[in-house]
Amino acid sequence: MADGQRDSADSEGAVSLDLEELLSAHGDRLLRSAYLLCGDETEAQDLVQETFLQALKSRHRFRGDSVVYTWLHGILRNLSHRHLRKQKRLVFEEELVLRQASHPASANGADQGFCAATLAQALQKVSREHREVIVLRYYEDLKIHEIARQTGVSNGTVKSRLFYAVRALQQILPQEMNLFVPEGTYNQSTQ
Amino acid sequence: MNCQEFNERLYEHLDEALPTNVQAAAREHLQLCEDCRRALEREKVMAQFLDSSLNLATARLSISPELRRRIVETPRVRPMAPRIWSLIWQWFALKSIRFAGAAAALLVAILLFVGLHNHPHPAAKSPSPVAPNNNLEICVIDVPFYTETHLLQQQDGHVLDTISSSAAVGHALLFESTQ
Repeated sequence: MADGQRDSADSEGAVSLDLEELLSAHGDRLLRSAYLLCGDETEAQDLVQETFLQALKSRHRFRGDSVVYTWLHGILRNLSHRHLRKQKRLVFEEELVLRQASHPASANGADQGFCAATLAQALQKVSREHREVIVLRYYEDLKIHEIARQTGVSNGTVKSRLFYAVRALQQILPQEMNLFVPEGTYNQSTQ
Repeated sequence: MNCQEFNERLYEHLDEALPTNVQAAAREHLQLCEDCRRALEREKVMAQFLDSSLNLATARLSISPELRRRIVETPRVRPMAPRIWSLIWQWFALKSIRFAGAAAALLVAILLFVGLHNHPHPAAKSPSPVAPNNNLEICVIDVPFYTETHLLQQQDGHVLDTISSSAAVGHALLFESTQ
């Protein structure tokens, strides 16, 4: 998925930190991740812009120990923390309610686009720690120990957060989108 | 390995991050345990569902030409400072608020000191430099002045933020004698 994209700008011993290259290789991915973390497209753009500026300012600190994308994502994550502390999050509750009201629940599940939009919105309703761990694990495809390193907590804490994060999501999502209830996605996919 | 031990290591098993012997024990347990096989399958399905849904939800987002221009052009305006200056600036920025407060206090103290010492004392016992003269008239002109100290964060000639501000009022006393 994004692995090829991530590794394209990395080469052992000679890490290219050219801004244009970084933008082409990681810009879109970072923007999407920022959107999932903050829930607003304009704020996501600002976060990405600030991420690249910070990256350029602190490029001397990048030793090539991790892939460039992971480093950039770490900066983005820190910025989004600061951003969320400064500004109360905007949650698209109104839009979500409208969508739920206008979209009839069907026994065999909603269409993919609706599921995706609803999930992204539901993600904004869980706590920052839970949202972060979901994004890192299931969107960024990071391993448990990589998430632990990025977030500065133990492997056990990451696993615990994942467990409660998924449970929190299941409580927010509409019934037909809940993964493991009788009419949920998992049971349909295994029938 | 029992079910509880497997569940505790489920994520690491998927990540293939377990030591070889533990990974082998986990595989062995899976062959024997239907519940753990289902738990593993559920996690895989959920991961796939979340991955595809989150990718779909954000697929429309990409770096626009405008955002690219904003990102690329900003750092060009101001070349990167060498590391040592960057570190000094970081240290200074941390201390800046205390520094600004101390500077404002010092300024007020200086103004008070200067103001008190230059103020004409009508009942001063010390001999006046000007000999008493009935025709002598001393005019004191008090010129108040207002000073502001701002510590600003600037980038490319634009003020991004005000870190601290302080203000003080001082008095310049001008003496004039007329005969």
